[in-house]
Amino acid sequence: MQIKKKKGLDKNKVSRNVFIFAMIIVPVLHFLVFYLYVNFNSIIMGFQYPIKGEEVLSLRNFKWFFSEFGETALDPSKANSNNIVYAVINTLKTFGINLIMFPIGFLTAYFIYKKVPGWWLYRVLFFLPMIIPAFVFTYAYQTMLMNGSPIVKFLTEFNQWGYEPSILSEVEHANNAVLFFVVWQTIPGNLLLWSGSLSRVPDSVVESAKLDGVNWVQEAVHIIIPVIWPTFAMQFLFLFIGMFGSSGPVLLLTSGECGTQTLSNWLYQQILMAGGNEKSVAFNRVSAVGLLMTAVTLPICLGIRAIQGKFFKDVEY
Amino acid sequence: MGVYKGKSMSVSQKITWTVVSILFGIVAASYTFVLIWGFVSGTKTGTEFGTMKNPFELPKEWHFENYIRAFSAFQFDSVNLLGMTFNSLWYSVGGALICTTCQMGLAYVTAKYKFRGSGLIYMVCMITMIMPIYGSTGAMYRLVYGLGLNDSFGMLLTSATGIGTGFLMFYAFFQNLSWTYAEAALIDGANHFTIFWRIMFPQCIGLFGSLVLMQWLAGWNDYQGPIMYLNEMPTIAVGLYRFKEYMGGQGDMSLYVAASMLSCIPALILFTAFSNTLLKNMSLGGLKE
Repeated sequence: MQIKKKKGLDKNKVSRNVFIFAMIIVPVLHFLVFYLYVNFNSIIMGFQYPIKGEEVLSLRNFKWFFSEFGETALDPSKANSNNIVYAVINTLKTFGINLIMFPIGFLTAYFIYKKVPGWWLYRVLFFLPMIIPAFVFTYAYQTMLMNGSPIVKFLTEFNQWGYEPSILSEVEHANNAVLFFVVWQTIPGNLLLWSGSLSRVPDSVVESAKLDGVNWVQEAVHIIIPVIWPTFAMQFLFLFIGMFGSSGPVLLLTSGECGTQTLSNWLYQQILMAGGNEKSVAFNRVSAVGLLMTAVTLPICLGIRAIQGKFFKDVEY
Repeated sequence: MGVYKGKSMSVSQKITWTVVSILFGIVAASYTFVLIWGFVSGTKTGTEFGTMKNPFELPKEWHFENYIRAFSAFQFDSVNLLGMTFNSLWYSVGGALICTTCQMGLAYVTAKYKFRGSGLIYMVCMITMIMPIYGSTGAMYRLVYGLGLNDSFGMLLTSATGIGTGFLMFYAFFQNLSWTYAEAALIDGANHFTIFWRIMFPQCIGLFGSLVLMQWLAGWNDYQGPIMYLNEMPTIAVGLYRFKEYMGGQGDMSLYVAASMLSCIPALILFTAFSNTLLKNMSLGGLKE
């Protein structure tokens, strides 16, 4: 009897272990190959430089990056997709816009949650930038900004340019047009996550605040944000984690030409252009620039995380 | 929940609500306009596109047959729109199912079972999520091409990740899920697989479905990954990108627009049908280390 019980226990333990193994084996292997190996290899590649088909240890990729920041780096005649200085500056500009759009995205979700007139319609329409492929939006935008378009005519008169420019093909205008596109597309923010979190705010909390006579600003700042703090803090942290990934659909709008390049698109295009030539120095440069970006972002993210943990506590409800 | 009630509002609140309504209306109208413009422009002829001076002009003749013609005439490397749709489907549906299943499985065992390494797995998931890693595109490219995963169904292997926002959502969900039914089932002799599929999975089906839909949408609209790795098995996104790149905007752009608009339809239908389910299930907890 005792032996049977022991066997039964062992069988259960084996079944439990087999189950755990089956559930974790694929993601763990994926992590080892596509995350750990890839990133480790990427770090090594950053410190390698191809000479006559051989990759030798070198700091030349990093030196190249800093040497690019010369006096003529922002020369409009060199504002092509390879110009990394434009890429750095435009990335920071886009990140700045994302920072501004972060509270706007929250407010959009908040007003829909408060059921402004037509909220049910906005709740669907504001998802269109997420649902409709970027190809559709970018092509429509390009067509609206073509020569002869009433929008360009209006802009020409309004700004007194004196001629009708090809807005997305001229260095003076292209990046502003891309940034405007980013603003236009990110007004709803991450509506799905905000809405999901707001829908979990207990009605009783909001109702009692209302009885106390709070206005909408006080309600948003003192009631809603503390209650949905975990989502708020996470979204804010993710914003900084993706700091150097900030970019509009530059590949589709301008291919990074005319002073519109961003870092994430630069990284992508370098590999795309290097294509089949895997010995190209582009692979090593991309890894080196990526390492520098990580080195700058990591302490910022850890700092924000530490501040969030120290000064703000999650609310239980 | 406090809702808009015109009579009980102060003047300043009424002004705020009016301004917000106007701004929302303008933004929503601009998005809707793109959709309508696309569907209308898809009925123009290629010549009309070539000689177009005003993008707001209506078609001289409405060629609705463009939407039928696009299925066969819109081609890239002898793959037509039907073939591209098939490639988009396996890439997006397969990727979404694999990714969400992996995240669910990993979150479930990490939240509900204590085993050697469970703490480590959770910690790794948290760290990788807040780790800003850039520049691995080159290393990834070499690996994918080295393993021969490009231009094949093998690309789905790259989706089998357990890490991501989905992991966090599942983890929070399973942590709050009672273990009582599982205990009862264990006493009745059920194994752990049965408990998971018969008892736990049905309870998280809403979250699972929502995440699959979100992942599918991301895969369906993804162009960067397929452009780099699926040139011989082009998805709709690759086809559209290459068509425009090679034609330089000089080809039959009515076909381009018609194909683009056709690619919106599945996403529009699915999203409209499941928007309430999505909104109910999507919320993100904090990171607890």
